[in-house]
Amino acid sequence: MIIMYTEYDAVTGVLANYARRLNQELGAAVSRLIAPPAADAREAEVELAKNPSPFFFFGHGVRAGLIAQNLVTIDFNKTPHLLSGRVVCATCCHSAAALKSAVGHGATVVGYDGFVAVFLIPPYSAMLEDCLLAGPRELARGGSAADAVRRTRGELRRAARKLIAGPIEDQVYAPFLEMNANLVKEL
Amino acid sequence: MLIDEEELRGAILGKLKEWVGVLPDPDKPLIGVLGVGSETLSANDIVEQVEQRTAMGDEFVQHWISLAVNHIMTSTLLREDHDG
Repeated sequence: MIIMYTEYDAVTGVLANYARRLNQELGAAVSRLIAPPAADAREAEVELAKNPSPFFFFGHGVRAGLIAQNLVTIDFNKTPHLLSGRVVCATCCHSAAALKSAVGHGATVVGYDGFVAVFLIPPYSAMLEDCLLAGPRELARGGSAADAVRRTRGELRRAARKLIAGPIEDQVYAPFLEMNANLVKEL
Repeated sequence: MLIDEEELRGAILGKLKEWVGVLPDPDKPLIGVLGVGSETLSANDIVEQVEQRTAMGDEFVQHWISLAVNHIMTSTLLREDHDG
């Protein structure tokens, strides 16, 4: 497996912690960790060109692609062959649109169809970690993309139900978990 | 008394304002939302989104109502330690 993450602002800081946790959990199953400061577009493209492993990304995304550490957009709709035949899970905004073309090249994609809400402060950031890592963990266990989506939605909705039963401070976060649950999809 | 959606929205907004009123720093970023850069939402921003009825604010309220109603509908009838 290849794990790539960026870290340059509050949101990517939180997602970087999730990526590091996943990397720690998967251990030797991770064939390459593309991490800052080397997590730039060129590094990713070179690695993907030679390593057919499943690809997990954590960071920012736009409809045109995934944003590398050097803020260059990796436009996989122009280079879908880099993802040919592999499992891809991108935990970032708009990853469904950014990775759409890869499906035509045999990739299996788990992504988000819109803006993902990322909780910046504990304990909510830790709660979201289990939700957003549910999909990658399922794929790493050999589960299907549909299973990964089901797991992610299930964890997000379970957390939302827990928070809505708490004080207002907790309840405020619950709708954002529902929004995230509605965004995750398999392509 | 039946409560319509508008009243529920008003109740949520009222509670959000109470919450903001007791926070030491209601402008502290709580949630990152956008695709590029460090666009974030603070407690004050969330209130503003709801108050101004933005698309995100309306979606936020809809989910809150739905979750709250679901919480009521799925609540257990008795405490676990209910002794009859």
